[in-house]
Parts: sequence; C-alpha cells; structure tokens
Amino acid sequence: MKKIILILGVILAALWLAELFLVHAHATGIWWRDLKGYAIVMGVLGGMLLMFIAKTLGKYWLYRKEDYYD
Amino acid sequence: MIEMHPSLPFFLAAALAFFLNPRLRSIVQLAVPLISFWMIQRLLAAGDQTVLLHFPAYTFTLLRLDSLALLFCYAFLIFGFLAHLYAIHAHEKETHIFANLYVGSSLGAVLAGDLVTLFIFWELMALTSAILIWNRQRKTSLPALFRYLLVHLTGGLFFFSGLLMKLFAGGGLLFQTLPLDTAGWMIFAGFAINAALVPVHSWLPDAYPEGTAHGSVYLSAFTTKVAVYAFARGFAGEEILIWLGAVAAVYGVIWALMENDMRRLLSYHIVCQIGYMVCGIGIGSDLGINAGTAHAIGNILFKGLLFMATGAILFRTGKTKLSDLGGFAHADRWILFFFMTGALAISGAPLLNGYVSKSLLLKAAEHAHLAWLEATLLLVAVGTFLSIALKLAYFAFWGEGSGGKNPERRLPLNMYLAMGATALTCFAIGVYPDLMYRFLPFPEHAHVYSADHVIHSVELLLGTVLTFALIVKHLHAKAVITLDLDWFYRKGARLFERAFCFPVNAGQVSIQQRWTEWIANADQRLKRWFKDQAIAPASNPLMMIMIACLLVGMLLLF
Repeated sequence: MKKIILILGVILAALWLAELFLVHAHATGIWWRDLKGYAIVMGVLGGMLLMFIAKTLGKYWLYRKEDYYD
Repeated sequence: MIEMHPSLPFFLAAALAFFLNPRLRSIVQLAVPLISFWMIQRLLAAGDQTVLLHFPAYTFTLLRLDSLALLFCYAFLIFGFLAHLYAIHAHEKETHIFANLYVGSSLGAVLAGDLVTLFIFWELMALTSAILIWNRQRKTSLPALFRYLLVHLTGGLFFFSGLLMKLFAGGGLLFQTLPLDTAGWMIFAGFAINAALVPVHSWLPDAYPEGTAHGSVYLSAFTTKVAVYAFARGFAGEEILIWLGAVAAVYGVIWALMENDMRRLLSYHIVCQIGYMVCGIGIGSDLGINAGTAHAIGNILFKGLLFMATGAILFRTGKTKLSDLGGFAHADRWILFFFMTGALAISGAPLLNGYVSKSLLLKAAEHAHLAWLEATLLLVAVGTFLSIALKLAYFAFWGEGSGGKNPERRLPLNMYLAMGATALTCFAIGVYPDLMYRFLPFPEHAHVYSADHVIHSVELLLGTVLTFALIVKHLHAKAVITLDLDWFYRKGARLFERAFCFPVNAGQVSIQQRWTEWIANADQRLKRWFKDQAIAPASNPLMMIMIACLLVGMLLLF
C-alpha cells in the first residue's frame, strides 16, 4: 500500500506542476477556484471529511443489527 | 390516432408474454423498443405530434412530442432495450409482463400532454413497479411491497388533490410550467415523493434492493427519471429545487458511505444523483436545464450498468452484502470491468458520459454565480467516487472476505452482452458528447474537454484515491444496517400504535362493554316493570321505547 501511496503522490505532484505551468485558466472570481491544485485538496480533505462524518454518524447513532426490523 | 402511441407496443408485449414460449417471447421483448422507436420516427415525420382522445367531459392529450419528451423517450427506449436484453433469460413470466407495463407507462407519462393523463400513467407506474419489487418473493418482499405502495399512493393522493384543486379553480389541466400556489405545491409534493427528494426519499433504498437481479435494473431507471422530467416541465427555475437538490446530493452520499448492501448503496446514489439533476433544473437557465436532463440520461445508463453488474454478482453468488463478499475479481474479470466503467462514469471520470453531464452542471452553477453549490457538487463527486469506485469495488472484488471467490452459477451470455452494450453507450457519449447534445431541450455546444477541466477532474479523483489508500486499513465491511427516515413508519409506527392506537382501542372496547351492560340492565328492568303492571310483555320492550322515541322525534321535526 505504501508503494501505491508513493506513486499516487508522484502523479499528483506532476499534475499540480502541469496545472501550474501549462494551464492558463480564466480567472473565475471565486477565490478557491483560482488556487492551483484546489481539486487535489478537495479530493483528499473532502474524502476524509465525508468518511469521518459517515463513520461517526453510523457508529454513534445509526448502525443497527441486521435483524433490527424483523 | 391512438394506435400511433409509442407505449402501445409495450402493453401488447405484456399481454403476449402471458402466452408465448420463451424463445418467441425473447424475440418480442427485443423487438418492442425498436417498434416503439419506429413509431416515434413516424410521428416525427408526420409532423403532427399530438394525439387527443375525446370524451364528452374531457379531452385527454395522450401524446405531445416536443424536444424534452423526445429526449426522455429515446433514453427510455435505449435503456428499455438494454434491460430487456439483460432479463430475457428469466423464467418467471411476471418480470416480463410487469417490466413491459412499467416501461410502457413510463413512456406514457413523459408523453402525456395533460395532468390527468400524466396522473393515470403515474399511478400505473407505481402499481407495475411494485410487482417488480415483490417478485423475488422472499419473506421481506411483501412488507416491502406494502411500504412502497403506501408511500407512492400517498404521493399519488397529493398529486390528485393538486389536480382537483386546479380543476375546481377553473385553470386548464395542460401539463406546462405550473405556478407554486396551493395546487402547485400539492403537485410538487407528489413529484418530490417520486423523485425521492430528502426527506421523502427513504422508500427508494428500502424498496429497490428488494427486486430480483434484473427487476432492480428496471426499477433504477424509470420512476425517479419520470419525476425529474416532470420537474423540468413543471417547475424549472424554482429556487427551492436547488436547495432540495443540494441536500439530497449530500445526504445520499453520506448514507451510501455507511451502507453494507451493494444495491442499497447504489440506491442511495440514485437519491444523490437525483439531487444533481434537480439542482440543474432549479438553476433554470438553458444550460442548467440541459445539464439536469443530460445527467438524468447519463444516470439511466451508468446507474443501470451498476445495477446490472451488482445484479450479476447477486446472480452468480447469491450475495449482495459487502460483508459476505470479497475476492470476486478472481471469479469474473468481465463483471469487474463493466462495474468499474459504471463506477468511473458516475464519478465523472473523463471519456465517460458522467463527466460530460457533471461538467455541464458545474458550468451552469458557475454561470449562475453559485460558488457554494459548485463546491458542494465537487464534494459530492468525491463521495460518489469514494463509496462506489473505491469502497464498494474494494470490498466486493478484493477485500478481506472470500465469499465471492467461488461463485455457484454461470452468467448467461445475454447479461454480459447487455452490460457490454450499456458500457459502450456510456463510453460513446463520453467521447462524443454531440451524440447527446443534439437531443437536449436547448441548443448546446459546450466544450467540456478543456485542459484545465480535465486536469482538475483527474486531480479530484486521484486525490480521493490517495485518501482511500491512507484510510483503507481502518475500514471494515460490517454486517449492519443503517437507520433512515423509513424508521418512522417501520418502527415509529409501532411505537405510535402502542402509545396511541392500543389505548384508544382499549377505551373504545370498555365503553362498548359498559353500553352493552347498560342496555341489558335497562331491558331487564323494563321487562320486570311490565310484569309488575300486569301488561302482556312485548318481545323487546326496550326496542319499542326506542322506536316510539324515533317516531316522536320525526313528528317534531316535520
């Protein structure tokens, strides 16, 4: 798994560099959209946030045994 | 003119499915969508795109073929064909009969030109789809059918009340943009229940996973998309739809992340993706409506493909729970490939159709200056990829368990062919968006494959993979269920029954007992009194007095 994480890190860094130097997107006027690499941050942090919310909701409130409704 | 209606072949095929042998039935099943398609071409060529049915009291607009209806018709016919192909091996007649009725009534609903016709097909859809839910005939099937009908008939009542209000107010019943007055709100509520918008969504993840492998494929495509069509026709541009859509998208994705049953997880993603569509329709601009409807068409295909692939796993292993599965990648590489195509399409990976419609929607949100909506939709895209392409795929195809390694049954060729054709359609629209653009309600020439947009999409998806790789060792598929709002009518109703219905019932019984005792006492006393007075006892003295009271009462009244 460490190898996969390393490869992903390298690809993402390459993409970020490509975005930095090659892409000249129009300014959108939305501050976070104009940051280079916002999509990477959104993917990583957004994924963690959603997973955290889902697991917390499930563990402390919503998970039940499978025969709960029987 | 009624013989020109494109849903007629489906109703006839439903009748034929009763009598024909399996081979002939298969030919009819595959021919029906093609015949219906040919009828639409004839209608378009004839130039007369309305079919009226006259009655003395009311004229039904059975058919109105404009660009919006045509787009949904084509999508329903293409998917109707693919779903029929997926299901032709099935032995049980009910599937073929009710699937044809269901597809036919969905077509009827999108072609309906007035609210009464729409309502009739709307209810027909609810009834026929209910049989597809029950058709697996497990212990849980019948209660699931009743719950499904309970919710949908309630939705139908809202719709019908709105319709009657409009009728009595003297307004026309043509199905066009509807104002949000009292009648409008009632109809809106009816649509919202069918579209499974939060908080009236829980019927969907409750019912859809109950179907057979092929039954659920039909279910995934039609009811909710007809409701999206109805919103696009009746309530485009209503701001409340943006809010409801955003809530549904976030809610669906979080509940999907918690889910253990594959098809229930995918059902939550129907709720989530309907949120996307409804957001586009709520934005209301040409681009927004195009994006909403394009996503509906895309969703019919890739969600159908995902239900087909998970249905294939169910068919081969008899299992749908991630905690029971694992290692299925070793058993069937083709299903893995088709599943991943659907999963990448729904996540918005470039070269697949989900990328095109999601890009249109993000553009629509940007043009409407709704930065918060754009951020929300991106976050939901992350959750979609995380829950389907990573979590579901990891636990079903690899994972800790080994329940999927040695499946018992082989998959019929037609199921592979159906999945292959659906995957190919997703790919074709993704590579060549003009295939779909030309049928959208408004002219569309958006260039979705700009360098920055492609890079952002890939970054978003790979960032999510990085997250999953970091946390995967802490994730386990647990054999649990997740509560949702259906708790209120599954468990809550029982509590209500205990707290309210039982005491009221007990009270009523005790009042009844006292009343009976009182009458018996009065009767006996009267009889004794008659005896004491030496009057010949009547057969029922109490009755005599009551009749006398009644007669006096009538005399006084007149």
